[in-house]
Amino acid sequence: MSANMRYLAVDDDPAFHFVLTKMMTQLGYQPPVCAISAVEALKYLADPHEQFDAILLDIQMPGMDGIEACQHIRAMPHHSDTPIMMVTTMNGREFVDQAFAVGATDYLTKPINRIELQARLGMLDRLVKEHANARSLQFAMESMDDVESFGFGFEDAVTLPKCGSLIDYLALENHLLTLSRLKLHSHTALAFQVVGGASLFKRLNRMEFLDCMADVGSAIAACMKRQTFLLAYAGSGEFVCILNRAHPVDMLELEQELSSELMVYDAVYDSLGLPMLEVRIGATVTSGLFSTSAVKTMLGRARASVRGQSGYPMQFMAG
Amino acid sequence: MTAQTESADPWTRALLPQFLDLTASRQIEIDIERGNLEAGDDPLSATHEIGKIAHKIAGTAASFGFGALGRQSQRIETICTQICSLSDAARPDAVKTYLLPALDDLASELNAALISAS
Repeated sequence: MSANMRYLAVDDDPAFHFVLTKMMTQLGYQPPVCAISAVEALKYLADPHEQFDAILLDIQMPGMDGIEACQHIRAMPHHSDTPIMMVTTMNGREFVDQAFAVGATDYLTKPINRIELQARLGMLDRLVKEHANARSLQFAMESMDDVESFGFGFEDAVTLPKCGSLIDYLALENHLLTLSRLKLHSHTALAFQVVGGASLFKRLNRMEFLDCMADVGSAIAACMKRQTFLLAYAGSGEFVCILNRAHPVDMLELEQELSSELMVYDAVYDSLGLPMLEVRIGATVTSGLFSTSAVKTMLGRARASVRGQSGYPMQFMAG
Repeated sequence: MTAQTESADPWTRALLPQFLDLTASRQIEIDIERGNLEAGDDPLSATHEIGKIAHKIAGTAASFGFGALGRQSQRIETICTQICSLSDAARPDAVKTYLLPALDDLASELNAALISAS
């Protein structure tokens, strides 16, 4: 838990401010700064003297609602990756999908209870720390400073710098967890694996490795742009993409398109003496309707597929 | 009618007066909109406003131990959303059949909450 984190809570109900402030202080957090409307919140967020680590944003508010506010916040360069937790009553859950589509990180249901709030804030803490690491990394990349001081392992699902199309893996999992089982079943997961990712990790310094993964992430995102998708770096040189099942992927076309996207980097990688980027694509995987841990299973099976595990023979190679 | 029967965190006692103040003013707002509904003045707008007030009550009532009030408010919010999506012709019947009785129940819960806490 981060006692130093500064939260902005946006809700038109003063009673919710009372409850949230009390619960957060009891959990050891600073009292949040409270805004009574989206317009007031945007004023706070636009003020360069005000720093916020994360935002709690009510969805259903008079005037500008939380979804529109979320869009405005994401358009602010200094809040493009600030975690935003949407807050809604059980009746407002239908809006949660829209909120994720415009950049929300997570959501919390009213009336809030302390255990759930603690878990959600803990998740935001982790995200804030990851983003801080990513920013340090970005700074180091730009200043070409001490490159070996950044500690993360090959398996870590780190935030990739300069890769706007990707969301955090945690946020991807959170989004899927909000879907009903039936809705989850209408999505497919597709994993991508950088061939020789582990040896690239050993050979390159951390900054170069992240840069390389960001290149792959951008290439994958470029191939997916014709449809709605969510893409996250999952660690271990792997990416997971969530797609709507109603729009089946033509795997051969994807393979060719990704090859040509990756080819853009060939000259640069060659000039640096690095191997050409090659990416393996797994089979599309759907969740079982009756599985007990549908989200983890779906993402896990997609990643097993791209690794050639779990009896998934169908793989495609791009690059 | 259950009033404050569900367990609330001990700290809610300190904040209860503010919550009750807000709840009392919301009860008045609902009564005004109910009056508009019964007078047949712009039922769509009145229903929409009642839904918004109920939404607010539903968001925090349970945190103060008024679980039944929260659930009834949530029910009103759902009814209001459904009524707003009906045609103008179908709306008055739905108001009479579903919303007004549900508002009676909500009024009982609100009264019980205010009485039990005072």
